[in-house]
Amino acid sequence: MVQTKVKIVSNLQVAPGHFKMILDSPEIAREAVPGQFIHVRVNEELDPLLRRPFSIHNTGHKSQGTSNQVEILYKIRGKATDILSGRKSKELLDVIGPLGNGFPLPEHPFDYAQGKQSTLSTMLRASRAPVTSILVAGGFGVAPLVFLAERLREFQIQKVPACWPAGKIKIIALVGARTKNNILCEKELINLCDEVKIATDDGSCGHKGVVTDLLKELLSTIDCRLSTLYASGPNFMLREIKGIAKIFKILSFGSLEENIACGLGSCFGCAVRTTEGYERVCKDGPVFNLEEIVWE
Amino acid sequence: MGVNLSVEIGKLKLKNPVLVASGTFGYDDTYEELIKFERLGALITKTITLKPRQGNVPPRNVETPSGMLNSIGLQNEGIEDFIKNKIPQLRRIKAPIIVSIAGERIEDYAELAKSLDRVKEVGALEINISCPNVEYGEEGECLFAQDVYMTYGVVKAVRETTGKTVIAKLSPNVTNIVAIAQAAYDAGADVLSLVNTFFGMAVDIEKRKPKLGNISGGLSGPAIKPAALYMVYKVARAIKLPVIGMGGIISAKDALEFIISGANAVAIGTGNFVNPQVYLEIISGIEEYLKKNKLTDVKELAGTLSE
Repeated sequence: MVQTKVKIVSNLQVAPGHFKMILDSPEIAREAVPGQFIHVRVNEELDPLLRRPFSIHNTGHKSQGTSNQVEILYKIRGKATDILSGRKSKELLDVIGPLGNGFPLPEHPFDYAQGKQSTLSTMLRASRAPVTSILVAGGFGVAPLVFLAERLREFQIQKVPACWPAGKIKIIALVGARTKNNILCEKELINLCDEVKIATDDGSCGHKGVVTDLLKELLSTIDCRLSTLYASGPNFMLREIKGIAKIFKILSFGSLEENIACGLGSCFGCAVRTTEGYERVCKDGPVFNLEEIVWE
Repeated sequence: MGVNLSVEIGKLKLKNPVLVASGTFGYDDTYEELIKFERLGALITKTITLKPRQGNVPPRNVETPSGMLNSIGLQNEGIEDFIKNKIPQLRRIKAPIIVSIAGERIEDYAELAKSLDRVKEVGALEINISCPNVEYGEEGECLFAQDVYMTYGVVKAVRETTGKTVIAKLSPNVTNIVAIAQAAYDAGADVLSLVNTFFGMAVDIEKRKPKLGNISGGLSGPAIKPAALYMVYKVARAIKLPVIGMGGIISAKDALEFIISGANAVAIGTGNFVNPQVYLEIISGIEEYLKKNKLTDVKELAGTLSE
């Protein structure tokens, strides 16, 4: 974790009201894992005063010579993000990161479904179903899931041992947006995932309805014991997903949203109630096992 | 020629007058990765209470123009955990440690002071009688720091329990800050720390609901600086105790305003959230100012406001 002034490489609108900013920061790019965030001071003024947290949308790629780059994807939601959208390439931005805990990544196939190791190998042998990673995105909540999909894809390609039959791991992304124009990262996800399904509120693309409709439909067709759900989006969506995950008994992780002040765990301002008491979204999260969250 | 930035706060000798305020830098080694602690004047810890406190219902913070409201409610693991688990982490930090304590009754403060008196890493105690987010005493409506008798009682109880430097942290939510400061002085405080946050609130007009889970909270940040500065000025003039001035300090200029108005040292609070490295800028800014004004010692500057 560093505090550093990084150069803005580019800052472009990718959908109405949505921007992608690329930053040049070797330290953050090297350390970052999916689900972590950077804490950004949008300018040097006193209003807006506090930093704003942004999930890391992706890091660059060695093959493209961009391995020093860090991307964020954001929506203009107020004064701070409005100012951010006006920042120009080559300007410097004061950033702290990477911060927080990311999505638990599979280290070894048998650790794949965290906490289920003891029975997993037996289950794998018995089951014909693939191990499925399901990414559920609501709105610009898709931001960290592209980074996650990329890491899962690497895992899928590189780390599956020979004893695993091909096709044993499947990555499915479910993306929800208000309308067709607001669907973010569809192309990236199609490249990284085995399947991508879209839901729009107005039905202008994919399923007409909410993304959790797609989730329920999917979960009833797969072996949930072998699957993990990774969600990012507004808190009401995560709350709904927690309920669905409970019914289908699927391990689920969500990236939570809160007003974050310090971002480093010192102020206890971004508290969320969990089964263990109040925890800090910035330091203990932002990714939590959704089972542990107690919605107020 | 170098300038001397060292100051004395009670029995504590600080290498410079720039501290970090309670609740804004944690109470363990949270900032170790980011900060050169050896450069800090002192670290004032997040407030510790006797028993663990779970804190208030979220949302606990909301930004306001050039400021923020918080209603954390002193979430902490309690004194036992602090001494057992946090002190060993703080031991590595090469800055004087000032421990902030709060209780619901006078006896709580005395017990906390007694427990900490034995801990050699603790350089001083800051008595937090001014947190706007917890209820004190039987009635629970009034802050200890809003009442001269309660202020006197708490400070006296701590004074009688500890040989360490005693700092009383005062609230700005009073009609006469000098009267409260006088009570702390009479009870034996070595140092005064002011101000804590101002009572405040913010409303979501669409939902017609308060933006904070606890309805109201404490306002901090640059928005409160002029009001905090005025109180520091009033107290520093009237009471013969060293003052740690705070309230919206985010630049060397802010810190200098407090020092010129009578503060012997300053503390950065909300400014740490904006820029955790701001203490370095403030220390070097003070140094440059002294050089530019041909002063060799920061102590020569304190209270030099010409009226």
